[in-house]
Amino acid sequence: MHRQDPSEGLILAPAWERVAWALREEPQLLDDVARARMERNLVDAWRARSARAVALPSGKLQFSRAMLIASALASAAFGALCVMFLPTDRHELAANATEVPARFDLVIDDGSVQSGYLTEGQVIESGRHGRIEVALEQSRVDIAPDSRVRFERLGRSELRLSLITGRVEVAFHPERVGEQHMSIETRSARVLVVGTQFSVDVDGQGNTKVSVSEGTVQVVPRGQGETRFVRAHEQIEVPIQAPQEREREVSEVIKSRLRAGSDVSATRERAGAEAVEPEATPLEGRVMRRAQHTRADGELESARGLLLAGRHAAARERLHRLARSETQPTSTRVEALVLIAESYTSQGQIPRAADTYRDAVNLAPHHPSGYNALFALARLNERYTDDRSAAGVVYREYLERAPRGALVSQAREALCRLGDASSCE
Amino acid sequence: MSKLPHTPRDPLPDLLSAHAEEDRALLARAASGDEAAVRKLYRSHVGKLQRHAARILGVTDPDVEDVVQQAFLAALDGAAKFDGRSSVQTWLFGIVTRRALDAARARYRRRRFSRVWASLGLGMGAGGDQSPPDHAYQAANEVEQMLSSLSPLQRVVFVMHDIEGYTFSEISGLTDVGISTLHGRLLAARKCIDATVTQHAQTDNAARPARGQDDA
Repeated sequence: MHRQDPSEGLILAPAWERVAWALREEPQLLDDVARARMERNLVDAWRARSARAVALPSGKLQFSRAMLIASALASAAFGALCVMFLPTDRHELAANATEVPARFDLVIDDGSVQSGYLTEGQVIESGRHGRIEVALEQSRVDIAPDSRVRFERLGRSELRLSLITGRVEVAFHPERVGEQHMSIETRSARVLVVGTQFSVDVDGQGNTKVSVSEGTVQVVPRGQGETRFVRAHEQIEVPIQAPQEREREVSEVIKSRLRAGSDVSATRERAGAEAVEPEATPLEGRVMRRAQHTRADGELESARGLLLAGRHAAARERLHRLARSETQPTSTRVEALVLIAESYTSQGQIPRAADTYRDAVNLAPHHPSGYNALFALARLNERYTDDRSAAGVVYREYLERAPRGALVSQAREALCRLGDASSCE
Repeated sequence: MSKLPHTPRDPLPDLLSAHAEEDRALLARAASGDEAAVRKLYRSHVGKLQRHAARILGVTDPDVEDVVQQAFLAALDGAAKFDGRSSVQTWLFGIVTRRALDAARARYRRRRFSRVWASLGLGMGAGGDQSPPDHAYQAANEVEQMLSSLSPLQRVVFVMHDIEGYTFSEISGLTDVGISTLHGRLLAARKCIDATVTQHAQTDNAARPARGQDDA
């Protein structure tokens, strides 16, 4: 079956055998991030199934019709006796259960792209064009675009959210007024709710605005200032108190990063945050047409939503379209390519990711976004391939191109790590 | 003289190793509700299973993860049915194979249907479909592109026999397809790959002088 290559005199295996050999030698596709995400999804699904199995035991006992009717009658009679004679308050039973199920739907372009259940301590972000609808037992929280909220407490007697930034609209209608409480904490105030409909806005600085459309809320400023009651059709603004609040903001960011764990989106966000380089030419941003910016941002945001929902192929298709469009600003096209590269990375397609980062660098060789892509490429080489020299070359390329860039110290540290003693301080 | 290694991996060590015994114990614990066992079982097999599903469906296919997850859930649900005749890994491979094959076949049928539809001048392909033969299979590199030229069953038997090293009787047991059919499909798959490689080589040769002129 083996044939001789006339040009080189080598004995060649048949093509299928060479293909099989190459595929056998292929490394595993899963990176640690994807592996962790898949594991978490599996365990969640398995827990949900186990819970259902406990609720609905699948025993093979065969009941006769008479037995079924008898047991139904007995249950009904027992239920009636409980209602008539037992002093137990059903609300009390409900209140003893620990957590309220909080179902969320991430909505982009009027379509739900992701849904699931929130747990205590979880932080969710709506993104620029996404909206999140959270349904709790007696209340509903609508999180507006560009907002970030942490669900601190999801108890039956207490619901507590932290609005880090953005806007939430809340409808809270408890069954037992006075026994169930809801509060929303911002950096400048605490909004205590008894039973009402209202919205809370937090701007970039942390100033809080509360508007009430039904009922009354109590607003407690965090610094100096009196507690106020805001009634229906009234609104109040609570300004932030600078130094103390700035400290809180910093600790907030650190805490949220620590909480991010192995989540793909969080990792992506963290990687993005690390790689962000300050704009060297801030004027360029002003020259760009705003309308074009907004449309492109929308496209990027919806692609991000698709990536978060795990729909990589669809997201990449959208991003490729954006990256190819010559009418878009270069920074947007580079960002699209970087997102494509991150998507490939998360799916373990490292060579493709590297090619895409390089495309991004070539598209903007003298722009900060291009420098960022170069740094990301170096990091990819360092983390995902065994080729330390290639990683070193790219880090050096970054240092040459962006000698005053924000990532210079990280690039030097990486070079030191890779064995370049001259970069170690 | 250089010669490429071409002996398929022998699955026997897997069957006999201590890992197989450990896997059985893990599966039993996982089935009884031990979350740590579920995680450990998952970690030790997910890499291979994911790669296997990706070879059948295409590396960039968004269904790959879903197939692997559903296979694991099915395995945990049906752990009582595991009779211990094969290793847990082989058993899991079987579940993933069947699920991936079902998904690939469904697409293959849809694609064939859309081609017929297009040939009648209807549907999205009516404007002249220029897509590659298996556009549902997105290859990550040239080697994987060779797999895209195969039908789903050809792909499965080629991957399991020539890459993973399973015997025909094992593959037959895992896929419920007869041995003679598998044998025929494997020969067809090998021929198809040889033809594709030859075609690629001819295309490259044809392009080479043109590149030389450019350089000159």
